[in-house]
Amino acid sequence: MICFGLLLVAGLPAAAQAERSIASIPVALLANADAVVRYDETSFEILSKSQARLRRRLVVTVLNENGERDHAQLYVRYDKFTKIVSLEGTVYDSAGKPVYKLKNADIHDYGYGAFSDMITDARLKIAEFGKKRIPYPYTVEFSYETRERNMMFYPSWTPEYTNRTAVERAAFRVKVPDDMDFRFKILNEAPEVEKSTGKETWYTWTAGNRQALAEEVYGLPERQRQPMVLTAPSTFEIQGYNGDFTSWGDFGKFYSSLNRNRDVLPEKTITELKALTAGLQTDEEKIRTVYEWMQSRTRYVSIQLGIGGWQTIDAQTVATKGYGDCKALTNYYIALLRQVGVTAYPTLIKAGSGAEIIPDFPSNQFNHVIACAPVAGGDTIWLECTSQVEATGFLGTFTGNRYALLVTPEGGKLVRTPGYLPADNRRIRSSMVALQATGDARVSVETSYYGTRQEQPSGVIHGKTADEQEKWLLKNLGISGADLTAFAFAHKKEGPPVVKESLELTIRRFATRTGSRYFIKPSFLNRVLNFPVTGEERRTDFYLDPDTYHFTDIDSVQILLPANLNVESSIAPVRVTSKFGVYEADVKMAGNSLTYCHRLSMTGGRYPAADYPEWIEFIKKIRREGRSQLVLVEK
Amino acid sequence: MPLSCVLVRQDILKYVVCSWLLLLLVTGEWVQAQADYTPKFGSLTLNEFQTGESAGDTAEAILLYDRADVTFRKDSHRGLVMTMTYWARVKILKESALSRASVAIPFHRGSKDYEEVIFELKGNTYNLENGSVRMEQMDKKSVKRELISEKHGVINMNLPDVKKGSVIEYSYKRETPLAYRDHPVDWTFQGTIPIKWSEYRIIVPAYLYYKITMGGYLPLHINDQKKVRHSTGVVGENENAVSYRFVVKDAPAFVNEPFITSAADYLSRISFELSTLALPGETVRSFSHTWENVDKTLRDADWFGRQLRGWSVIREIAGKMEEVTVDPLGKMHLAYDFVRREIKWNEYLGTGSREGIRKAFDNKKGSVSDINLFLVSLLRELGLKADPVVLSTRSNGRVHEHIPRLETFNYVVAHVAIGEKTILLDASSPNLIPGVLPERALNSIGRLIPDKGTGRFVSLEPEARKVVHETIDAAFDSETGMLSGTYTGALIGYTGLDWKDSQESVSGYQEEIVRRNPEWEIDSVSVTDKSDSVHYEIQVRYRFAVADLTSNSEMIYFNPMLAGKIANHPLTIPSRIYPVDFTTLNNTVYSVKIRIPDGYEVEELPKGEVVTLPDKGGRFMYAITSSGQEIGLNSIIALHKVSYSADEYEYLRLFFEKIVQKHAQPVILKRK
Repeated sequence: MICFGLLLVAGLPAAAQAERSIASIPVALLANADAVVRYDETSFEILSKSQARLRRRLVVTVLNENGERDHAQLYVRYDKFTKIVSLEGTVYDSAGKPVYKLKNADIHDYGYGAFSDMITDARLKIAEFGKKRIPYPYTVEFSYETRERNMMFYPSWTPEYTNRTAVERAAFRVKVPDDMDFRFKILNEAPEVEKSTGKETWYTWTAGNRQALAEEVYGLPERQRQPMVLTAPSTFEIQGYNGDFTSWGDFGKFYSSLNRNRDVLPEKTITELKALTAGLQTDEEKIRTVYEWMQSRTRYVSIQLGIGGWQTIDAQTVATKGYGDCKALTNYYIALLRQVGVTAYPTLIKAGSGAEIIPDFPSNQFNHVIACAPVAGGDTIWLECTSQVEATGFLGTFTGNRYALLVTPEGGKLVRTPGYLPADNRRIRSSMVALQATGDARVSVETSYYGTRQEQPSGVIHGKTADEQEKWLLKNLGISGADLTAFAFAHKKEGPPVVKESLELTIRRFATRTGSRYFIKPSFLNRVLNFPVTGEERRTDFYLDPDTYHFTDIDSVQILLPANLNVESSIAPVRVTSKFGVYEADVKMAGNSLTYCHRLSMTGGRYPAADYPEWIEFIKKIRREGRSQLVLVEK
Repeated sequence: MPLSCVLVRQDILKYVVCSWLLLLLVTGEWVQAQADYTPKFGSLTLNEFQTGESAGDTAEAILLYDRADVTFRKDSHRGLVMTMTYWARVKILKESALSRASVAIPFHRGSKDYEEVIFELKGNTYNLENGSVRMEQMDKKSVKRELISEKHGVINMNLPDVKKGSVIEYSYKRETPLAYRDHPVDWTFQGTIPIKWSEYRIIVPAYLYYKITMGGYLPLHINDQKKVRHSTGVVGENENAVSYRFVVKDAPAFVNEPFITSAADYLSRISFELSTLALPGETVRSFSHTWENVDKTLRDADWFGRQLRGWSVIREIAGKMEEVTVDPLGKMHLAYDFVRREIKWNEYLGTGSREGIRKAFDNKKGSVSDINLFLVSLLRELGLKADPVVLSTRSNGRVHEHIPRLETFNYVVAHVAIGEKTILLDASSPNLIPGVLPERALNSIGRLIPDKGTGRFVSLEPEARKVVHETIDAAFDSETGMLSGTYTGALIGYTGLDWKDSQESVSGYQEEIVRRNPEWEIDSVSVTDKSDSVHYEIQVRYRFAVADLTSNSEMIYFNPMLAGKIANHPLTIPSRIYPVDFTTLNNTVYSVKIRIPDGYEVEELPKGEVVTLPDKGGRFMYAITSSGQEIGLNSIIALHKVSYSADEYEYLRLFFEKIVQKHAQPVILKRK
């Protein structure tokens, strides 16, 4: 039986040797490729609600050094729930003849903590072929088997490789016991499923002949582009806990039951808390006061041990130790709020810039937990419990604008976190320039950052020393010859957070002088948009990441000129509009003072390929305007 | 060996100008009385707690106390063992420093005799409560041990109840068998955050003789050494030993600056090298403490000198080469190309060949020392005068001629003398050529180890420079106002090597040229690699057109620095305490000819200028002329030194200031 299984998995055609020889690679697959995946099969056999067997066989032809770097090693992660049963490998020369077999000494074992700040029981096996250099091209074959006891997760699969790798053939197979439900979701034109219902039920996806992907500017996010098959359990069991992911409601119930009764707080904490909140009237006030109180008493430490990856440390421990991971700190905060009569819920989310879950496929797609406090008659307040410096209610690019799973005692509910529009992400700046006869200038700059725009400066305020802040400011300003004489920051956290920044600068050669003339670039503080290589025609939709491209810049610059200068060449008012945004600039002269006003507002998102020339034209125009100079000449 | 103590050191007042180094010889008694600070573990006063809370401190944290005590003892199983007791006290000033309360202590694993042991872990957190300092102890459960790999482990501990304003304190002992490491690890008195008090103590038994060197820019606040009686279990209760105590007070955070060789050259630190081991009843073992000893150690080492004896495979290869040519230079090139092709660099540095050069040859892969020791063997087999040269890479720090230390080195190259000519060879990278070492190896001097006799220092300063020559020939179109012409550039010497190392393909570079000049219309790009086995030259040519110059109906304004313009000052920091190191000499030449449109004349030209650096350190020339409808400009920047001292920094800054200024100035044309 086992033999039969192995045979099935191996599933090799008789011409196995040919599969590993270079000659049989279709020529088209060599274009732009550093490596060609000859065959990649993952087979996942669900044995029961609580167990599965995963097998993988991977045959890759390495064409050069880059291909070797990306494919000559195999990484297999394991932990308390995942056991590696076998791990083998062979190297073949270009004719497909075996030249080296993986030895035990070639398999190295590492603690996962070495690769992160985590405290974890997860480990890695890394297999690599000896010290001998093998001439390119050559082929590596790896196969391994693991036993899975964390049945919250079923594998996901994509036939696509990044890093200049072509794929000749790839397959994903799932075996399902007759008495169990199996769910899957096909994304972005991934292959359709083939179901075999003989003695055993297998679901199979196969793909092949995929050329290496060329890197693309403004490429769509993976989720909108990459062919993928997601799979998930309905009912499962992990370490004695039974769960069901058939619906988001069920998912929420499972998380809730796993984390039940972990919200008891020490008496001392409760007493302190009561004193802290005495006299507070509204829920908003309590939510905020308790949040800031918790921020000042805790810190984030990632601890992922066994079931502890999903089950929170109890609130009592967090209260005494003063640290925890996202689950633990969120659980602690919610426990604190409960003591003062406010209800909040843990909310599972996929954190990270641009990260998204597939909302119509209930499954464990999350990597983070935040707290959600609905306020009767007001706006819901969201809280990032792992940050010591974040403003109450601010989510930003890390967790904002996406689906999340609210966990209530009745079950889970899919909700959407607040987004940030171009008008929210403002940078408003006003500058005063006193130009001297030498061309040097004294400049004061007042800037306010709003929305996602304040994330970076806020990080600078809280995380950097004065020296580093100065360096950051100078680098960000990007003005040659600028010296900071003074600067100050303030992070205002009441209401929507704002960072205020005040700078005093001296700028050498603010105006370039040649003989009797002064050349001035009044847009000296504006951002310069990057220009992509154009050349080829755009065939696919393009994507301007809203985390970068949703913004509004408003600038006003007043320049006090030394006496007796005449304008020899001025800048005409300009307004450029397009579907991507609006650019406006204007210069006014009054006496010996010159005022430059500028506004740039952009909207990110997905745009059709046909709009690409317009986008290029738009950047070109803005860049050109940004280089405009005024020429003044001595009277 | 008599124990006495004399302190030899360079003038401490010069520390701002040049890195000082102390060489401590154990030959006398010298005690210095200074304000002392001796806190107690587990006890913190309110005053100590509040250190660093004043508004002036902007660091995320301050190390209030950073201390190590090192002692030695004999263990019946493991032989000599050193024990370091470490103790740190950190004031947390910003949220971003909270992660410092999660402490990771890496340790070495191996067989029993080689394994490090970490024990007696203790930790306390201090917080202010109702006006007084309250201490909380770390419990055992907060300490986790993880075995990272076969050779590494880590202990993670998390201190309790830490918030902004807390002081944390922890301590542990580390036992290291001398079989694994025969000297204490370097101690740095400076770090990424300010250190109020950094103290290093060590009791060295008489049978161990360490060469102790100190480097950096900070003065020692306490520098004590005295003879003591101490028991290490080797002789008995009363063994002779020397007890040292070094303290640096108020060390500012170390800030890395651009154009330095390695932070290691500037950090205040103390390092040790074992020179003699004289255990009673055993033969005295001497290690390198003169350069002659270093030479001998290297020459006799299995992993170095003994690798150089000829063996059959090399003889065979050499024999075949002898058939091709008898010209010594020709043979050198053959050997160099052979090794470069046959043994690929595995990215490891080091002075020694770990598994032997023969194994590296079989594997076709090896470290820098495998590769270059193999090259030396082959060159010798070919009858050439070839020797290995050991050196220290830039990131590894300087070699000091007055401090003989084997540990200084981490790299090997080959040295060949043919007639009057000497050539350095490094076969570890495919783009290198004879006579050119990679930039990582350009660190002033290396030590040549001959097969007989005393070694000597050789200069690593390369003949090749970083050279760029750019020429533009352009003309205005009177109708359209467009400026168009041809660009010719040559990347020579190290600039050419840099190009070869960073470019994957010529076509990729052509795209890059277009990308780098988005405002220009560029066509007919040609990139030609004209490099050969003795020099580098990359030639770039293209046609370009620039449209949107500032102009109105009467005037045209344009900057004649169409290429080669230095727009940003490379030295942004106002003053500097470390030398500025450019790795190689530099030479940048730009010349342009522009035909101005008919119907226009030159209204104003930037003025010509010549700036020189003191002591013939460098020269910038900007010369611009116009005659008829043609404008000609030459800009030459030549840096005649590799390294400029902190004293010269101000001049260097003004030098670049002038360049940036001249390079920004436009030409003004007016309608006739």
